[in-house]
Amino acid sequence: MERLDVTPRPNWREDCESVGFTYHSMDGVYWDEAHCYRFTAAQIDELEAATLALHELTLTAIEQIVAADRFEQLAIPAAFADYVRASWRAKEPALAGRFDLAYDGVNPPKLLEYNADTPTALLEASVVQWRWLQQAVLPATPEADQFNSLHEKLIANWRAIGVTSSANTPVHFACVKDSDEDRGNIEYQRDVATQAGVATRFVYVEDIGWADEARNFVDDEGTIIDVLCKLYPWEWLMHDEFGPHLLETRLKVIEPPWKILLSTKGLLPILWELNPNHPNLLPAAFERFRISGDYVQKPLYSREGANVTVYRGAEVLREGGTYGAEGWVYQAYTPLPRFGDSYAVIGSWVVGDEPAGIGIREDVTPITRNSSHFVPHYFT
Amino acid sequence: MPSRQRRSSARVTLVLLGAAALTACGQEDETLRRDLYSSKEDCVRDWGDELKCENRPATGYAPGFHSGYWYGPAYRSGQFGSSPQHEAPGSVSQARPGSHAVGTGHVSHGGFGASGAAHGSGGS
Repeated sequence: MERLDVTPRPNWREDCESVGFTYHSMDGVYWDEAHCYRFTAAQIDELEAATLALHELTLTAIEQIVAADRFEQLAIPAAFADYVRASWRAKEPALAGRFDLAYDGVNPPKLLEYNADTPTALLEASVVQWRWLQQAVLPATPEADQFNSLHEKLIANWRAIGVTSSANTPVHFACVKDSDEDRGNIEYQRDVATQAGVATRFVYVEDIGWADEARNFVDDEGTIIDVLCKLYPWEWLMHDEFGPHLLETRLKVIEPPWKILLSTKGLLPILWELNPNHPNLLPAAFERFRISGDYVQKPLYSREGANVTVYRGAEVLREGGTYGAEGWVYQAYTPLPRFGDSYAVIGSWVVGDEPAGIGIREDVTPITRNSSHFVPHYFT
Repeated sequence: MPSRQRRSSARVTLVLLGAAALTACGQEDETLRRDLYSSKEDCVRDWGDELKCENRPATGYAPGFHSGYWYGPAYRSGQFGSSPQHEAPGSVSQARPGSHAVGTGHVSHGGFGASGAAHGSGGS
């Protein structure tokens, strides 16, 4: 695993925008092709194997959470416990998730967290870095490859899960207003669903309506929403004003309700409890005293590194935010690999039940944030 | 020695995405309405086309529609003889004059999104 300085394509901005990646320069620099990471095939094999192993561990963990009725410990509202349980028992289909891993190319990858409900950085991982490989790497290094079959696996998964009762029933794709990044990610999901033969519509989360007399959700044109693919976390849906209506409709939601059991950072201590000393896990607990040495405090629910605090020796690195009301977990600190001034985190994707590729985020601090750069990769 | 199977997608094509696809839609602030019918025939008499009439099974949560009901197409306040003023969101009012509907439903908005407004974007 090496970080290389490389020359950006002269037309990289235009190429990014041609595929809807309009937010390539949010916060100054986001997409960074002045650098890239090069892996060996053996390192990619290790990442793929770790991703598959973690995916299987998470599915086992859900069974334990459901069987032991640990919803309260995960701050899931009591009214939604049966809803989540039923979703899991019904094997409601899931699309994708992204494991964030600490990996230096030498030691086993370690799970930092699992973005199982609303993972982003998908368009750039699937499409943008693939185009970079074709245009910037393969002409000079034709034997180069990339761990990235996201696009074809996403299309295949949309075909396989058969989310609609008939071909004419559309799936509504939704995200919040005023976020180009969220809109780009959900539109990409909509694109691959379309290619899989799914009829699609878009609605902003804020424009979803509730028809009181008919007891169902509708879009901004009054069309009933039967299937909702949302880039809006389950814990937010549950706590918003319309949340209780979810319990009285037949609305299918993707990602399904059971994904909240994986996207909460409460998953981390449960994984460790069930699989102590697993090579791809870090010690984690719901109580601070159970973790010895340097550690990281994380909110049960948070996004993009918000409210994460690293306690490293006498040093405290704190990221601000609006999260933490539901409680905290504690995870042993592991150093992220550092290349120059940058710390790197591997985002390793699962689509359906298969590892599907990686994207790499860099930050100047050990806490990966929304403003972290996305750096492409290849392997030989 | 056989060559390794490639790990990258063989082809990546998009059908929707592109800069033009992300333009925002204009906002409408009229109240959305849909007429409710107890039978398909009544709906078709109002709208003239059975394709405009949508059957919804009984959910157990819609009092008075134990065997399901029929929805006419959505329209905005002030159209088709309805009152132009906004109705209370979530309410059910009397059918439009001359209509065969049993009532007119209105839609509440703004019940999702508050958490997003408090925290920021929904991605992770």
